Amino acid sequence: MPIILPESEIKELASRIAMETPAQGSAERTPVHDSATTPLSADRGMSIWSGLIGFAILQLTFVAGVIASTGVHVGEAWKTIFLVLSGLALGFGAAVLLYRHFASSKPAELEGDYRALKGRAERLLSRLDRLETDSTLSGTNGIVSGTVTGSVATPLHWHVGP
Amino acid sequence: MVAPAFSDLSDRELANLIRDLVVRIAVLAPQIEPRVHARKRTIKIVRSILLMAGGLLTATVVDLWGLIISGLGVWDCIEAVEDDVREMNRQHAAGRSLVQLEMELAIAEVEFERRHGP
Repeated sequence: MPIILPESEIKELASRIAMETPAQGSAERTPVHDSATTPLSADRGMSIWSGLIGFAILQLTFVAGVIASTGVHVGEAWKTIFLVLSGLALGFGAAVLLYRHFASSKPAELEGDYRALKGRAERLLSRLDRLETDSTLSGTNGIVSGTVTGSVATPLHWHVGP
Repeated sequence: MVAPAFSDLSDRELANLIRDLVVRIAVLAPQIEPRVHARKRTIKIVRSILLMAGGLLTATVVDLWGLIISGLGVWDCIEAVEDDVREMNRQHAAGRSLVQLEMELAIAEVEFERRHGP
């Protein structure tokens, strides 16, 4: 059964979709932020980003130092530094991967949660549709409006009382 | 958004609200990242880190060639982490929307069952 929504709701939904859905084919997909309720994720993202920039600048500085002081060849002392930097790079990688592992919204969980939610919503909608179909098929709609005594209700007013 | 008092809604309004929820849940689908994409991002980060660290290790043996590899690793790493952070922010936002919708659906379900039985 097709979903029929009032025009005002359709407009509201359209504006919401326009705000929340990233533009198709856009390389820069802007994250959806509600600044009033969600300042944390952006902050977390920024801290990783600034950490990475700092790390890259540190490495580049060392490399520039090597080139400036030794010309083309790398001296023995620099080899130790490179080894340390290599260890730092691996440490940084491990830190990023650990952060992703313990992040609050893991893709696998989010996907599963979404599937479960969608299933629940579809079940509820099918119950709603079944109820409406039943009430439409029965001669008197099977329902009397709770507000207008004795009148036959519109198909959506299928219930009286609790 | 102010949460509606579900018990005050008429049957028609509750039905419309449930339909609205179903549409909002369907709209959320493109924002949920498939597991495969997340795995690809992880592989990209690991690759860039290995390039960086491997390049530096190579530099101890074959001088500047290793540093070039390391430079490529840094470049790759910056791109990978930038993409990752952006996508994770999007997933955080999608997760919050999911929780919000889950709450509204739970309330709607309870109200629906209160009126029409389980």
